Order: sequence, then structure tokens, then C-alpha cells
Amino acid sequence: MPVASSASAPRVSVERLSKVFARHAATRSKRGISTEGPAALRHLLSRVFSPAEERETPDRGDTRYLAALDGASFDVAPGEVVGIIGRNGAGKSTLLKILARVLHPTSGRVTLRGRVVSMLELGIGFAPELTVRQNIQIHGRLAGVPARRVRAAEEEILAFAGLTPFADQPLGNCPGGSAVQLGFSAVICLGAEILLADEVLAIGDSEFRRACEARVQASGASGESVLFVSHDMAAIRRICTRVIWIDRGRIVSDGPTEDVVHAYSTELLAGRLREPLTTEGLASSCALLDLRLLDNDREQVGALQLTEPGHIDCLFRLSRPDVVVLVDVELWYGKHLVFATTSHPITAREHGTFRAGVRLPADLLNELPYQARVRLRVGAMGTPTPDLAVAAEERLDFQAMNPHPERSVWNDWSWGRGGLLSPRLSWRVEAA
Amino acid sequence: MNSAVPITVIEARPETMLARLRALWRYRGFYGFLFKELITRRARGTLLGMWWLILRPIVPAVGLIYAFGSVRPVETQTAVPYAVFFLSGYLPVRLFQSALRYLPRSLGWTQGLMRRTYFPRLLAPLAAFGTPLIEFGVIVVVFAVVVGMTVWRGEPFPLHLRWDTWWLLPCLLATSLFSLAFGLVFSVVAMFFRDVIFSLRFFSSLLMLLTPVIYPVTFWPENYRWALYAINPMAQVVIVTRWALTGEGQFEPGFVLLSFGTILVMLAASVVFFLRAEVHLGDQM
Repeated sequence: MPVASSASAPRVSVERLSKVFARHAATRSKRGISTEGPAALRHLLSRVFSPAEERETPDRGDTRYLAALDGASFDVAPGEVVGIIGRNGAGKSTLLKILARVLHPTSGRVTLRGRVVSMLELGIGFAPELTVRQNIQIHGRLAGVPARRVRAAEEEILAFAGLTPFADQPLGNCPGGSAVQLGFSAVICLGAEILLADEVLAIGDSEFRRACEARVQASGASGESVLFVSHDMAAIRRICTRVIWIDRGRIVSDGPTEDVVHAYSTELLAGRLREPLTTEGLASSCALLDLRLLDNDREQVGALQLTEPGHIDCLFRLSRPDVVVLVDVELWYGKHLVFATTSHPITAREHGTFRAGVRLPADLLNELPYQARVRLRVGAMGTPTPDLAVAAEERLDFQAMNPHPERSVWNDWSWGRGGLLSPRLSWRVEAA
Repeated sequence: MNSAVPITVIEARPETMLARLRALWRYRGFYGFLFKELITRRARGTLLGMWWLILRPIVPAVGLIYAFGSVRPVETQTAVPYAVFFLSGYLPVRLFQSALRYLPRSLGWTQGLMRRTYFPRLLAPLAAFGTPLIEFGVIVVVFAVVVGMTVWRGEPFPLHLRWDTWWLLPCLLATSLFSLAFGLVFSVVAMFFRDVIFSLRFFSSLLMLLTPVIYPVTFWPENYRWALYAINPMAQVVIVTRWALTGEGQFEPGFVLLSFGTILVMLAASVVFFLRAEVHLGDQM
């Protein structure tokens, strides 16, 4: 492995990085079971058996391909804390996954100077059945730190994460956010040079968050570099020294935090989220601008806190008047539909930008990763509900977290709780 | 900062195969974890826990001994008792069947990890060898018990241990490599179709019928035996294992070379296939 000793070289160099996903047509069997398997496997085999040079490079307009990342270039210097922002599906997570070597780029080049610890995907850490100590070992081994050094740092990591009393318990049984706290502490104490974090600082308890943010801000001195993807603008503002704004796979803006965040917030109302599903009929007159998760103060976040209400909010624009719009919101957990709700018909006498959202009450969700699926349906005034045409569809993944297990209504929270929902219910016990 | 840091370069063109095979060694510490994890994870949430590791191979082995011991499929004119005859051939077959059962699932089992972090994906099928090895060990114990019972009943010691017994090692190695070749290809395919996991079970039963395990190879007409050896490398592995343990059967160097050569070619092809497919696996998860 080549080794560098220069301190001034950038920790991370990204040069014209692109990632193109193939969209596979689903095969539908006679019994109606639809699968993308055959097309996906055929695509994989074609790439395995044909050398790279002969492969066709997909056109930009080709709908069979999706350019999740389209020629992004930037450098991250030692000690920089870089926030990556952008709308749902803009390519932020794809970028982070390529840096973490979970995805392979289609073209371009990345140079990483240092050991990498990645914390991707929300949810309970990567080995919930293993104890906290074992998880520390895995973190260390994956980052290439010798076992002896990991054992030496173990107590320090446990103390920083505040998990000393849970050291020999399975990570999955520990309070919400433990996995994140553990990962973060591991990076800090094991001395990995690069941390990749996807929406993780949004969770974890407030005390730990403050400690982390203080540590991240101080990391300039020790030279650790952080790449942090988040929807949480408040967190981005607090900890990042620089922000990169990505939209449709391209870097829109790269600069000081305040400037970029401000530009992003103003721009949000202008563009549409996806290419329209149709260009004909009434459905084309309605564009989904943004879909996001808001906390109780209507600030955009990447994770919901169970003890507070939240909102699933969509922003759409109508380019013609006298239409009726319905918004469907479904909440899914994996393959299970948790609930579905539809707005009352929204009749717009004038064209313009509208905001529609559903409020999720406090103490309703469980500590799980959920997916919200939002559909906009449009029709001429007076159209019966079933005949409305689907104008836009979008999905939003988010995690629900319990930030204060000790303060929650359930005193045994640290052991988790089954079920797709965990509503606050009242009990009555009396002598009959 | 003057400490040396490792440099990683990620490019669209994947690293050379050699570099990626070398990366396996760097991740050896992680391999140990994965190996243990893939053995124990199946025991979680079951009543019998790790006892399944022992029960699963014993039940079919004992069943097969009784079934074919009482109703012989063919008249085996063997010098050794039928149970010893059967088990001496069943040893490598069981290793192959177990590996064919667990290796193709390895990528699915580690999917949660692979979505979150990097490690050489080849480690997953390699780490799935734990359970097959344990199940193989159980059959070795069953074999030792059967041999012990034979001696206890007053019959002569059924094994013929001698210098040639060292052929056991190449045979077991060939079995592992052959099942690895299948495991590498089908672990990738199983990411797209879970059906292969179930259909491979029928395939391995069929292969067992095409392998002289429950019957001696003399059951096949002599003129067509080469065809059997050509399509099924396991046939020679079983014959040589049995010959090494009991002296039963014949050692034919030409056919042994053919079978072991076939296995090595299949392994090389499957490793190339896996390494080429590896970089695209992330898109599927």
C-alpha cells in the first residue's frame, strides 16, 4: 500500500466523479409477481463478460439510466468539516457511498489519504446482536487499526460514548443513538483520519451531540476530516466550516457555510424535484418541488424524535388554475404499510406554489427506519377522486429516534419495544 | 502530522485482481469476526441453538445408513461393512453438500454490513465455510463411532490405514475448492434470484446419485465410467477418499488428474467471475 507523509495534501480528492445506475424493467410473471431480477442479472452479466472499453456509455437523455452523480470534483483539506446538502435524491448519499467504497463509480477518481470510518444508513449500528465491546473491535478492524491499539482505546471509547454501563450488552438493546455515539467515539479515539457520516449527528442525545460538535470543531487541530450529509440545516450551520450543495448529481455551490445554506434555502422554491412523469394532460401542470421531514419547530431534519411531533411536508407548484389536487401519504416500514392518509381535495383557483403536509403526533412511531411515500394526484375541477391522474411520486427515508430514553414515558425503553408503531396508550386497572 | 497514512485510490477501472486478492490478507482480522458471525447467527432465536450444527448432519447420515444398509441398492461385494463403506464415501460428499447449502447465502447474510462498509466481498463466501466444516467434523465423529462399533462387535478393523492415506488431504481440499467454485458463482446469482438457493439442494442430491457413494463404482458399466468422471469431478474424489481409508476400489492416476484439473479450472473461472461482478454488487443492494 502506498504511504504518504505529507500533511498539506488534501485528505480527500474527488475528480469528475460520476455514478450511473441502470433502471431495470420489471418482468411480470403470469401470476402477477413482478421482479427486476432477470433484467438486473442480465445487465450484471453483460458488464462481467464485456471489457470496460467496449461498453456503451449511456446518453444523458437515456431514460434507462439514471445519473445519480454527474462529474463532481472537490478536495477536502485536513481538519475540514464539510457538510453536503441537497434535496431528497440529489446524489448526496451516493457520493458518500462511493467514498466509503460501498458503491463503485462509473467514472472519475477518488483519492483518500488516511483511514476511513464510515457511518452510513440510519438505524441501529451494523451488528446489533453483538456487544458494544465487540462492535468496537469491528470498527477498529475495518478501519485497519491493529487489535492491540483497539483494546488500549476501548475504555476511552466507551467513556466518550457514555456506554460504559452497557459495555457487555448487545448494541441493539442499548438506548437509541448508541450506535452513532459508538461510531463517532471510535473515530475520535482510534485516530482514523476520515469520517463519513450520513445524517447521524441528527440523532444521539443532546448532551452527546454537544460533545461531538465541540470535538468536530476542534478536529482542525488534530487534522481529522469529516464529510457530513444532512438535511438538518441547524446542525450543518453549527458544525460545518464549508458546505457543498449538490443537485441532480452536480455540485451547484461550494463555499462558506452561511452563503451556501442561504442560497440553497432561497433556491429550494424554484426548481422541481424530478423530471415530470408525464408531459401531457393536466398531470403535467403540477410539479413536486420538495419533500421533507420537519420537526416540531418546522425545521428540516433527517430524523424524527419520538417524543415530539413531526411533519411530512411537500411543496408543489401548479402551473394552471382550476384544478383539484389530492396528496396521498403512506408510511412504510420495509414491506409493511404502517398507515395511509389522503388530504382532502385541494382546489386551486389560482396557480402558484402550495405547501401540504401531514402532522405526525408525538409518541406514535416506534424506533425504526421508515419510508414515507407521497403521491400527488391532479384532475380538472369536479373530477371524481378515482379518476385523478398521478402527477408526481416521491419517497423519503427517515429514522425515528428516541433521544431521551430516561425521560420517556416508558421506563424500560432501553430494551426496545416491538411493533410498527409504539403509541402512547392509557391503562386502567381496577378491582372488578 | 508526520505519521504515515495509507492512500486509497478509487477509480472506475477496478483494481487488478492480484491487488484485490492481496487485500484479503489485510482484512484477515475482519475475516475472523465474519467467520464466527456466520456460524453463530443461524443459532439465534432457535430453541436448540448450536445443537442444530450437530443434529442437522447426523439425522440424514444415520437415516441413509439405515435405509441403504437394510435395503441395499445394489449387491455390494465389499470386504468392509456397508456402513463403513457408505460413510467413507459420504465424508467428502457431505462437505460438498453443506458448502453448497451455506456459501450461496453468504452475500445475502452480509448484505446489511455491505451496505454500510467496505471489505473485500470475497471474504463473505470464504467465511461461510465455518458451518460446513463443523458439519463435516460431525460426520467424521459418526464415522469414528461406526468404526468403533464394528470392532466392538468382534469384526476385524475395517480401515486400511497406510502411507497412501495422505490422499485424504488433497481430496478434502479438492472438495472445498469445488464447492467454493459453485459458491462464488451462485452467491452472486442468489442476489438476484433467491430461487437458486432452494434449487441447489436438488442439484446436490442429484449429484450424489451420480457419485458412487451409496453404491460402488463397479455398478457403472466399465465402458462409460470415463463419462461419469468427465462430468462429475466428485466421483473421483469419493473413490480416492474411500480407497485411502479402506483400500476398497482402485486408484487411477489419469482420472484423478483429470478430475482435480477440472476442479482447478472451474475454481479459477469462478474467482474471475466473482471479482468482476464484485464491484457491481453494490448497485443491487
